[in-house]
Amino acid sequence: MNEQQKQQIQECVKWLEQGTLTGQRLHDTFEQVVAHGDGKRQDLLYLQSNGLNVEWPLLGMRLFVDGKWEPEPEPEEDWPYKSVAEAIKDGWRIIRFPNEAQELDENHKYGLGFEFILEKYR
Amino acid sequence: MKTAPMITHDCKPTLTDRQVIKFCRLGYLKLEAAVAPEVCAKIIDFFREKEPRDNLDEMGDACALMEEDWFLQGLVLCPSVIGAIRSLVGANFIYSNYMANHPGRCPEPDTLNWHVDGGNMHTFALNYLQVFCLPQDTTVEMGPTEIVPGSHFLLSQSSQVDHYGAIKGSKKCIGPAGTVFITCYPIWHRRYKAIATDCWRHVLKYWYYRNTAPTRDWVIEDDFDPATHCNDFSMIAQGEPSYRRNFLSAYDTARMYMWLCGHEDEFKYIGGTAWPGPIPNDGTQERYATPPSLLNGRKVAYQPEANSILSTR
Repeated sequence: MNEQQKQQIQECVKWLEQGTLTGQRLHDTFEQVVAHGDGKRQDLLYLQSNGLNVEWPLLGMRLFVDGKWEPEPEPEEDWPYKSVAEAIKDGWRIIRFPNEAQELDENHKYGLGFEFILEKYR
Repeated sequence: MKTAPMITHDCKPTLTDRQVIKFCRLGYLKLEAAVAPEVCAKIIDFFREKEPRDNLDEMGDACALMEEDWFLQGLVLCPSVIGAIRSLVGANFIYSNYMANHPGRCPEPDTLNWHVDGGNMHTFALNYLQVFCLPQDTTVEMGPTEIVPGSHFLLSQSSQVDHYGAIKGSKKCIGPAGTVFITCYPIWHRRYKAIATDCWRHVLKYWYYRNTAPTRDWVIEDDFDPATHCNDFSMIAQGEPSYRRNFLSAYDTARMYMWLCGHEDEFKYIGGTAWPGPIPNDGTQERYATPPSLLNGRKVAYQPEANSILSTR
């Protein structure tokens, strides 16, 4: 909990002791303290690659930042990363590796390439 | 209540072996400005009268156009389109009496999510075609349909492709008025964002169905032999982004092609450099494990068989 959140709760306790805590004030405090957690948010980066090797070129990408999808970069030359490795170098952490079991059968292909899901928590 | 029979039509096939293989490989075929400008103008007039009411349901049902002979002859049975339809779904094909429209307001800042249409089935069989027609000049700014070439072979449901974003090699269905896209039903698609202002983008969507067993009765070129010219089966060999490792897309294409030829049973996945793997070839050497029906009567010495380890466990 950061200093600002501690102050908001102390103020709420003060209102309670003074008998001035209303439902609206409690609701607002809850919104400010809980809804924003510790002030950090999880951003997601979906990368579809040609293989499990993080240096292989990408087939697709999409960014989820600040709780919403980012506009897709066009053309492909403007994609922020050319590989999973480049995203890692930029601070993204892999939170899900591709499901290798789906790639064992050469006669069937499931979905788009090998999907890595990465996060930044900021 | 009496049920009306399905409506059939026949004409000469116009696609060549190479074009049929290209359709199998990419899952779509683009016919630019195939429908006549005067037909497109009448279609746009039909929708323009409805646009001010801003009712997507009203504009989405274009069945009233099917009552018009100019529409039936000019679009559904358009001579420069039905030759391709006949090549892919065979003689006496059936056409749908339902006509849908996808009206899209411009601007529309959000790109819709990728999806495959309901009732999709991933199969090497081709019993029906989903066709899109652009009745107006359609640009990227107007939020065209975007498709992923080759995705008809990638097993997936909408719930699994919905979160994908930019995809390498995706194509926007743009073109002059009258441009037609003939597609394989399970191809991934979406509506791209529209930055144009104060206009509508219409896309007619309709279907054709097979009414006879598949057979290789399209146009056979003298200078092309599918038994030896294997590069046409492979996305990588054609310089197209492939979502399959190496040249595995060639096997998918070849299997669908052999199904269309009426000989899917001859398709064997042998692997290595067997047909239709695209090893360097000047088109004169017979390839190992070529399907017998492609050998023009030559007797095949030996047809190898192989089962994947996965299929025997």
